[in-house]
Amino acid sequence: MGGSLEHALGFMVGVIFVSAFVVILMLVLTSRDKKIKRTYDERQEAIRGKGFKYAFYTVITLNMLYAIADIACERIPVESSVVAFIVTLCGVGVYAWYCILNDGYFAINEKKKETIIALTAIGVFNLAIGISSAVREGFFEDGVLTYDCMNLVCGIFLLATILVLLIKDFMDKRED
Amino acid sequence: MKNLKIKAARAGLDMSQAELAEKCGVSRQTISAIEKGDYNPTVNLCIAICKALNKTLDDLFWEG
Repeated sequence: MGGSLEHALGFMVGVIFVSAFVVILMLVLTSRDKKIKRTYDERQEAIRGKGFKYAFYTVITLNMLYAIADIACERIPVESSVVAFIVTLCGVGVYAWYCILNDGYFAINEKKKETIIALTAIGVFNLAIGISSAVREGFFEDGVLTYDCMNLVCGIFLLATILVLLIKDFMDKRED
Repeated sequence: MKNLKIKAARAGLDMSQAELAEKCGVSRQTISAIEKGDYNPTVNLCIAICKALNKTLDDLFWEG
């Protein structure tokens, strides 16, 4: 395992506090200004529901596969935190990509351009941190893949999402 | 099955899919999916479409 207990605890507390802050901020903003609140029509709600279902099955299946691999193999050369994170990302990916390809991702009152720019910026930022981390330290410790690779994985995931958005945009334009 | 009646009524009012979608409070893709027969709208949305196009439910959604 890479890092001490203090480091892990600090990381966890940081993630919890930042997540709580973002959720509270969004709740305050949406309760004050209805324009910020995303609204989806009935077809989009149905698509998002299906997306959740497929994401749920994906996470369940991948968790089962990991459990089987963990029982069957003597040693898996990947930290369990990395597996948990990648399984979560796969679930989010299935949900997001399914919604994007079926017009359920963007709300009726949402500005596509702003979201795409924000996603690209975060993706490139993560990719840059991931590459610099790979060059400086590498991702393996005693032959085990550590969670230092997560920035790179997040960056690739976000840029793949942008690619899906661009493909969908191209498909829509061709249809029009 | 394609719903050509909505498309015809919309074209009769010289209205785009985006304009109809805005009047009904849905996305343009939803109107497109209804016209192509890829999505069956709820009664509430059918009524909203009828009101936007000044038609009755029979005019737009009844086969016959």
